[in-house]
Amino acid sequence: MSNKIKKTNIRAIFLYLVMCGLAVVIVMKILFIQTLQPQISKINTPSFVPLSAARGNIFSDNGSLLAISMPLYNVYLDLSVIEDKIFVKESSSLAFGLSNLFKDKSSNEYLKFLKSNRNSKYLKLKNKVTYNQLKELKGLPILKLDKNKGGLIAEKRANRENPFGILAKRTIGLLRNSNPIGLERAYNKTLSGLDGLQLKQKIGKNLYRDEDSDLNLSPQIGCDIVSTINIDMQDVAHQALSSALLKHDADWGTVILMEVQTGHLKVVSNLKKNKDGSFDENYNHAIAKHSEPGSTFKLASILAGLEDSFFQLTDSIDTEDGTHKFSDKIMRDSKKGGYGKITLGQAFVKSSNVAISKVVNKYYKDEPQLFIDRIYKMGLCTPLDIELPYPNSLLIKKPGTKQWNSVTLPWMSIGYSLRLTPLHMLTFYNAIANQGVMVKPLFTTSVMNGGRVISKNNIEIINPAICSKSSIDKILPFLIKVVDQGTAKSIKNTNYKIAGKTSTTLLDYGLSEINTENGEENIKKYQASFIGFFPANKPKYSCIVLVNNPKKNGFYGGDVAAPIFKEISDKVFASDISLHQSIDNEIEKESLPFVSNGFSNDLHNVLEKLNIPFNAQQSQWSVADKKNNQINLRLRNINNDLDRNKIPSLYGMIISDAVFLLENAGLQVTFKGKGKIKYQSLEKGKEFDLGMKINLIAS
Amino acid sequence: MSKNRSILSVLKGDFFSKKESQNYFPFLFLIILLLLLNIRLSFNAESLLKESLKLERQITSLRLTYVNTKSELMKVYKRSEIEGLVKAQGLNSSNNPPRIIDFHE
Repeated sequence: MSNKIKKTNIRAIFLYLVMCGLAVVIVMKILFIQTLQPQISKINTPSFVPLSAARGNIFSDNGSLLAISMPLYNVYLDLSVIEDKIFVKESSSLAFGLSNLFKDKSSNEYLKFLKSNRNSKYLKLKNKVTYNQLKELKGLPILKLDKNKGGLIAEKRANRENPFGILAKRTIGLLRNSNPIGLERAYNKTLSGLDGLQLKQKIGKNLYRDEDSDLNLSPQIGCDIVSTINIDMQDVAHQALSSALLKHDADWGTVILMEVQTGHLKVVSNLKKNKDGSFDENYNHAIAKHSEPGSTFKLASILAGLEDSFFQLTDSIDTEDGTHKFSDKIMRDSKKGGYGKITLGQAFVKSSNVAISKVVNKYYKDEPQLFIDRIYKMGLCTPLDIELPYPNSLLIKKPGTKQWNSVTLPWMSIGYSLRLTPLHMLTFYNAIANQGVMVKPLFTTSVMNGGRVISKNNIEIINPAICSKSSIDKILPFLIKVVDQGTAKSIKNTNYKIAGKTSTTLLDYGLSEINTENGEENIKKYQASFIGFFPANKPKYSCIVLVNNPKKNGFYGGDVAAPIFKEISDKVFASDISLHQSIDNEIEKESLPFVSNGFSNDLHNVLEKLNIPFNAQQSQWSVADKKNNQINLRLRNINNDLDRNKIPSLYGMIISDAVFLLENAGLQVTFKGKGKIKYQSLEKGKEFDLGMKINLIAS
Repeated sequence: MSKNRSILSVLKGDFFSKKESQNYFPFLFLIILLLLLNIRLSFNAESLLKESLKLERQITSLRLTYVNTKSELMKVYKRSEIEGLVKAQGLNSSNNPPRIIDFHE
C-alpha cells in the first residue's frame, strides 16, 4: 500500500513539474513576443486610428450642390485567380456587361482585352469609376464572385466632385497641394472640419471594435458654404458666352452678373476656347485679369467732370474730322470723318473718343491730380477686398511720376493708360445702378453646419456715395440712350430697358503704334465689352461681358459683347419672378371703371357715390381719363366752342348730353344708336349757323 | 509529510468527496452557470457589434449611392441639358416674362 502511494506521489510530482515547466515556457514566450517581436505583439493591441472629418459641401444660392466629397475608384482585375472553366464560359458576358457599363469600347474589344491579358494579376480596367458604376461592376458575371475567385480589385481615391462640371469651376475652386484656388481655397479651414482619433481593437478580419479612452476625439464635420452663384443663370451665361466665342472665333471671354443692392455675384463665367473647339475654365479672368477697360471708363470721366461742375452733358463739342492731335499722338474716333459738333451727352452715347478726351483734357490738363482724385473717390484706384485671393496688378498712373506724360490724361479719359479687372469695372457700374452706393462683391452668403446657419456674410458697403445723386440722374438717361440709339442699339428691348456702355479696346495699344510707325504689318487685336444693368428704371442686376480678341463676324462691343448681355438679361428677366408684378395688381389698376366724358356735376355725383377716387378741374363739361390710379376729370371747352359758333369735339360723349347741348346751340341733330359718340358728321372747329344739320352715331 | 498529502489530495480531487464540500456544490454550480452566461453574453455582444459594423457599412454604401445619384441628377437638371433634350421637339426656353397670379383666400 505504501509503495503504491509512493508511486502515485512521484507521478503527481512529475506531472506538477511538467505543468510548471510548460507555464514557464508560455510566460517566457509571451515576454519574448511582447519585448522582442512588436510586429506580432501589436497586431491585436488596441491602437489609435485617425478619423478624417468629412469635408463640407458648397451649395449654390438655391441649394444645388456645387462641390461635394465623393470617392472614386481605380479598378483592376486579377485574371489569374479565375478558373479556366468559368473564364471560358462567362468572359463573353463579362465583356458585354463592361461595354454596356462604360460605353467606351465594344464587347468584342473588351473580350479581346480580357483574353489577351488572361494571366495578368493587376490589369488596369478603368480609372475614376463612380460608386454606382462599381456597384454595377460587382454584379457582372465573374466579378460578382468572391474577390479570390472573381479577381476584382477596387482602389478607393479621394475625390471632390463638381456635379455641374465646368460651370463656375474656377470660382468653386480646387484644393490641391500647389496653387489651390477658388472658394475651396478661401474657405478651406471652414470646409475641412477637424480630424478625430479613436482607440480601436481588432476583433477579426477587417473588424475593429471602438475602445473607450480619454484621448478619443470625435471628428468634427466641415461646415457647408452657401455661395451666391445661381446655377441656372450661370448655365445661361455659359451657353451664351460659349456660342459667341465660337461665332467670333475669340480667345476667351468672361461674364459676371451681380445683384445690384447686395453685391451677390450670381454668375462668374470664364471661358477659354481650346484648339479643338471645346471650352475650359482655367483662369479667373473675371477677378484677376487686369486690362485697359476702354470706352466703358468714359462713364467715370464724365462723372468726374459733372462732380467738379466743369461741364454739362448739354455742352457742345467739336469732334472735328474725327481726329485730334494731343502732342505727337492722334486721337481717333471709330467713325471716319467724326460726328461734327455734338453735345457731350451725344458724344457719350456715340462713344466719341475725340469729344471725351478733348473735354477732359481741357478742364483737367493743368490739374490732372484732381481727375485722379475723382477716380479714387469712385473706388477705381483701390484694389477690391474680395473673398477670393487674386493677383493685384491694378494700374492707375499718377501725375508727376515717370509714367505720366502729356498724353496720359486724354488717353486715360477714354480708358487707356490704366489697368482694371472686369469685376472692378462692374462694381463701379453697379454703384451707379445702386444710386451711388458701392457694395462689395460677395461670393458667399452664409456658412452652415448640419443645416443650421452659423454665420452670415452681410452686405458690405465700400463707399456710401461714389458721386452725387444729381450726377447719376443726369447720366442715367444717356446710359439708356446707348442701348436705345447708340452703340448698343442692336440689343434694344421692348419688354424692359437696359442701361449700359459698350467698349472696343485696342489691345497692346502701345505696341500697335510702334508697329505702325515701323511700317510693319499690324494685326490689331481688340477686346469687346459691354457693362450695364437692368431693368434700367429699377435695376436689379448689373452685368459685364468681355470678349477677348474676336476675329470673325465683327469686333465692336455693340456687335460682340452686347448681344451676349441681351441673351443673358432676357432669360434672367423672364425667369426672375421678383421682377414682375402679379396680375392682381394689374387688375387692381384696371379696376377703375370706364368713365365717359360728360356733364361734370353728374360725373362728380356718380363717382362720389361709388367711392371712386377722382381729381377734377372746375368746368361744366369734363373729359375723363385714368391716371395714377384715379379718375381725372379735365376741362372740356364745349360751351366755349359753341358760344363761338364752332363745332366742338364730341367723341366719347354720351349722346343724350350731346343732343341737349347741340340743340340748345341751335343745331338740328339726328342720331343713331345709344351710349358714347363715335362719329360726328361736322368736324371739330368747323363754324356753324343756326339750323345747320349734324348727324351723330353712337356705339 | 502532511503537506505532501494535502497537495496530493488536491491533485486527486479528494476534497470533492468530503461531505463538507458537498454543501458548496449549489454555489459552485451557480458560479459555473454565471461563467457560461458571461461567455454566451460576450459572444452575443460580439455578434451584435459585427451586425452594427455591417449596418454602418450599409449606411456608408447608401450614402455614397445617394451622393452619386444626386450628383448625376444635378447634371441632368441643368437648363441647357433640358433644352437639349426638348430641342428635337421644337421647344426652347421662353424669353417672355411669366404672368403671376396671386391667390387670395
